Amino acid sequence: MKDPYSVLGVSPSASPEEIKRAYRDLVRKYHPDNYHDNPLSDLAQEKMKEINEAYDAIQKGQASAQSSSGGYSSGGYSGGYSGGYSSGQTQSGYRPSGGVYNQVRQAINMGNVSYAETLLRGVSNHDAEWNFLMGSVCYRKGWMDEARRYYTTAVNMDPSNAEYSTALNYMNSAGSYYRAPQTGGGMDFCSCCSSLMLADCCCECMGGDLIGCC
Amino acid sequence: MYGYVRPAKDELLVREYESFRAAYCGLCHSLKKKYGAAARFALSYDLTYLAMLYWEPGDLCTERRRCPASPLRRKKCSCECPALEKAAAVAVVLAKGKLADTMADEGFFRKLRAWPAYVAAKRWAKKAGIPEYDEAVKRRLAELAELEKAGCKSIDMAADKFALCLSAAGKYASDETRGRILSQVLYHTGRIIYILDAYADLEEDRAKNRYNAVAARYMEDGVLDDAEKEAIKETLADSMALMEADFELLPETVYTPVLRNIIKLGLPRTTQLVLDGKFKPDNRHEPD
Repeated sequence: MKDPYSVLGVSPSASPEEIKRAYRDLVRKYHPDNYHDNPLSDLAQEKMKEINEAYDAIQKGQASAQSSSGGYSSGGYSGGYSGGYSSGQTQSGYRPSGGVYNQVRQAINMGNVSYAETLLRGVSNHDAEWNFLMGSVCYRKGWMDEARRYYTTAVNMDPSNAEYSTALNYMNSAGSYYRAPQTGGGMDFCSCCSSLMLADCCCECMGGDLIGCC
Repeated sequence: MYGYVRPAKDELLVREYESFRAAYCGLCHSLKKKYGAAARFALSYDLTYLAMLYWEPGDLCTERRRCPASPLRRKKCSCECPALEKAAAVAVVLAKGKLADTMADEGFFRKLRAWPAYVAAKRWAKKAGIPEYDEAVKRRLAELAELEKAGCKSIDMAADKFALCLSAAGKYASDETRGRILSQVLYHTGRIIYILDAYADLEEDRAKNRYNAVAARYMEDGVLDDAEKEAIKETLADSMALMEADFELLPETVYTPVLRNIIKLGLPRTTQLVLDGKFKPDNRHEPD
């Protein structure tokens, strides 16, 4: 097993608060929500396991060091990567495409996205679930424009379905940082002034003047 | 390549900036050493990014060297290491792919101008010793040309072909897991580059009556309004979010802070500049 301190990126002399903060930051980074529908979610899951084990190991070490004082209760993150799609979405009503959709869900869970797509292309009735599943196929392929469009259609067709709106919400919250307006890189007030001063100096060297007062 | 993938320099620590510059200079030296001085034209920020992604946790070898861009002062530069050699090989193959594209569909005079470079690039690509990658790039770009000819309405489908060109370079990572992660990171990078480039070329493509993926997807009425501009930004943001999540799965190396800067600050900033029409693609300009 790797050194638990290096897994959490802290020094062995770090205080319990520092360790806890590092642990929380890492949990936030590799949280299942960030890898929802991601083809690499298995790797994120492994990483999370490693972090939890490291944190537990440190906690145990500290607990035995301060045996009588009670120590920490292990606060390891235990929420899970519940792993993709449950195949039997029990919904009331008869669904002619139910069998195909179950196969599609299985194919997506196995990571066989192209097979899932082929199955979906064979379905003629494009209902809400079809749009949702097509959205997750696109999402896994990195086709973000179409993923968003399919998810949105699914939500519009069946606004009460929690699964569809959750998928769209994940997408919205993941990209929120990058959608915010970006600043910097352009000309700021200071460099604008200094450029004018420089231009004035150049003009004066040549015998002219750009800014009359200086 | 295009030079869109660059760090936000003002947010880097001095040592991070120096290590970025060392990678840029190192890639330049690697290109020259194996393929000759003319191959330096394949150098770009985007390929420096690739070299940094290939970097291994243990690699750290820098020395000071002179070069034509800095003949008097020796500059810190990463010396030959597998990451730079791999990135150089990918760089010449991509350069050849791009020139082959020019030779296929540009006018006579442009073809004539590109011809010597194309002949040289063909030789370099052979020397790179990755024929399967060369083949993959050729195939994807041919597929892309087909889609462009057919006036493909889906921006994802068009961007996919270019993204797969980059993604295929992921397999040259040192192990299988890293290869998987790199392929994903590079796919999203490729998609972003393709869309940004299409956006930057909107005017030129319209003037020359050429296919443009952004125009085909968002401008059926011939104009790009604010909501559509926002939609482009949104879809790029979606790719960046996935790219960041995937990138965080890579092991830490000396270049992790620079790469994180590129993904979290550099790319969003470049995107904003491109969308505002203020981006300057000085891709062969040495970082100063």
